[in-house]
Amino acid sequence: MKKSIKVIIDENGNLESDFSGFKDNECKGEEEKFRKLLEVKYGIFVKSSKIIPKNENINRNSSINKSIIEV
Amino acid sequence: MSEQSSYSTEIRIPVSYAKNVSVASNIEDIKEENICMKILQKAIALAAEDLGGAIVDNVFDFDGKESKCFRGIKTKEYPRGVGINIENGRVIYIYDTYGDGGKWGKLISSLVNQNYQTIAVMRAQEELGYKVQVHAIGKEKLIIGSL
Repeated sequence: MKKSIKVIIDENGNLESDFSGFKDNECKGEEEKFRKLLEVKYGIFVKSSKIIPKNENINRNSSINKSIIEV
Repeated sequence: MSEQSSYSTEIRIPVSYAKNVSVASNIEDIKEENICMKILQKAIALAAEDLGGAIVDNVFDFDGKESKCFRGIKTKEYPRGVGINIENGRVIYIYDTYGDGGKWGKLISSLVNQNYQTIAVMRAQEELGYKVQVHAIGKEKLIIGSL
């Protein structure tokens, strides 16, 4: 299964991330690495977080309408 | 094994960079290595472009009192403008809500925040080796990084 991180950012600045395709504890490590990078390098500090282990991907791709932003 | 996380976040520019920023700053003051400031400026520029607005260095309250700011965005719908300052590393938005029936002040500031976070998340994923795609879903942004 392909590894992926999906992040949804709402208009209030809340981030919802979905880590899929990782084995065992690999997922937790990747989530920590990602969060630390956002905080230390990019100045995005997490005020509160909720982490839920899951078996299925969230599927929100069906309503994608356009691509945006290139950096 | 998969995992879903929800974060409530706040943007903070490192103080070592932010202390160099004042209301009189211009783009030349911002050093190449200052990633957060560069992202913030890009986020502001994108928000202004999306809303058909202009980037300014001053905003006004309902009574016409002027406030200088690091950057600001004025639009046709909200000509008083939303100012953006950095205080102790925190990104602060300045606008007068009085008479802002369309809630443009909140809309503009939220868009800058969301743009900043989108760019930062994209770059972080790229740095971790992911191939990144970004999409808009209504008012939300979806960033997909795949290995």
